[in-house]
Amino acid sequence: MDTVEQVSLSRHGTLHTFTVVHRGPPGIKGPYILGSVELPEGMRIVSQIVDCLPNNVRIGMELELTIGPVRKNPDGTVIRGYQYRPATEKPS
Amino acid sequence: MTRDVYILGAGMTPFGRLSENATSLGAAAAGEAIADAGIPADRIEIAYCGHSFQGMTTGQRVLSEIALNQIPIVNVENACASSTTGLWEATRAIAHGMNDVALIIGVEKMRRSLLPLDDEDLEVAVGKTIPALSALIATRYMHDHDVTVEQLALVSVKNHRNAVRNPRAHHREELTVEEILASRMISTPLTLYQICPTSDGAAAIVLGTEEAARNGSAPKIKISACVLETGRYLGIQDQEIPNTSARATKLAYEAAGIGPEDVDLVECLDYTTMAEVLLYEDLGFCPRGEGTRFLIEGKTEIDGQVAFSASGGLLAKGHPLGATGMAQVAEAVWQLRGEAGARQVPDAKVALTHAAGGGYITQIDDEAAVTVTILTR
Repeated sequence: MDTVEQVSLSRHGTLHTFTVVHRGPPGIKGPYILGSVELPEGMRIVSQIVDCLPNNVRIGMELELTIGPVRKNPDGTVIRGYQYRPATEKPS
Repeated sequence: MTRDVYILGAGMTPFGRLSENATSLGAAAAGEAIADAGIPADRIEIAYCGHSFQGMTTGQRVLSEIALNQIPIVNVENACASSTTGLWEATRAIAHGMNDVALIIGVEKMRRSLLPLDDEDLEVAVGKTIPALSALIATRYMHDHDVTVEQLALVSVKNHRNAVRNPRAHHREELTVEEILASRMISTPLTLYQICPTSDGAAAIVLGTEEAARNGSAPKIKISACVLETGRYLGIQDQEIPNTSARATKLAYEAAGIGPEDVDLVECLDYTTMAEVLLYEDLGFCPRGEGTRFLIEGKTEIDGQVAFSASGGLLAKGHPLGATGMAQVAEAVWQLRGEAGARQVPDAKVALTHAAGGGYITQIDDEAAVTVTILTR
């Protein structure tokens, strides 16, 4: 059994891979960019990539964490969650 | 000391958008498998029913339909590996002397939509779908290995061509690369015809000891290995790390005492074109990054080095989740018996079936449940 511990993740990462999802699940209207973001801590997280046109998304691009609307529940409630956008400043 | 385990009979409904309900489909497949085995139905001592979406006690509903409900019936859920997990259980029960004859059914009626996933998973909640998962892998694979989407689409061309020769397949029409790439975009770079359809159907297998096989009417097929592996926590999906499918396959080869060079045909979880290409590599047939070359050289054709998806695979035969595993095993049985008609793999002696499910779960290396079975005649 490996030891599991919680660590804080940095707010910056690079785009490992992506897809433009045209057919989304209920509550998320396509097209949207979904990316796998590689974090300096050595893990990857799948997230929506926002503030970026599908034609401009590239493997290796620098990203930063943001918060925004990720989906709408059947009752109309907008769910906000983590997203990544192109980095506006260099990671400190 | 364990006992050898044999497949006595196989049955399968056609796959497609069917009007029959799950109970009827399951009963039809089970009835065909029992008739094919040529043994009295009362020799069956235990039954397993694999499904993901059919609700409570589906196996009991199915077997009541054919009056085979005096025995223990176990319902099994492991996503796309549901019915093969039942096969794994049954193989152990027979090998260890707990039962002599078992029936495994897989059945599914699919919703006409994206596969519904549990949004308790954080990445699913923000928009990860099954096609998107494979698309993420494809974008990176194409980038790393200088592969084009036209090359990936050749998997779908091959599998549809094979399905034309399979009367039980869902999509029995040839498609060109152009038609595949012009179909509706689902998740870049994967278009509709690079992703398996939502199909209904059922399949069933009768399993037994050597003694039971001698009493049956069908040529006996031996289960040389049956492995169930679980996806492990990694934190990253790294194609350079042996994934669950690769680990399961290695264990199966060791148990059977063979290697990939001995395998004549593979029925795998080709839920997308990308998935099948990766499996050429994960199952040990070629090095990482060389899957499309292996395909383009014709190695995975019916008359090639190892026939992949001779049945049409998930991409063209269809993919009713719970039924897929038993349909793969049924295809292997027919191929090994020489009963596969126009899609017969020449002189097939060793078949490998691979089913994998639950790959959407965040932070396991690839798939949650993987089964690999090696069958020999």
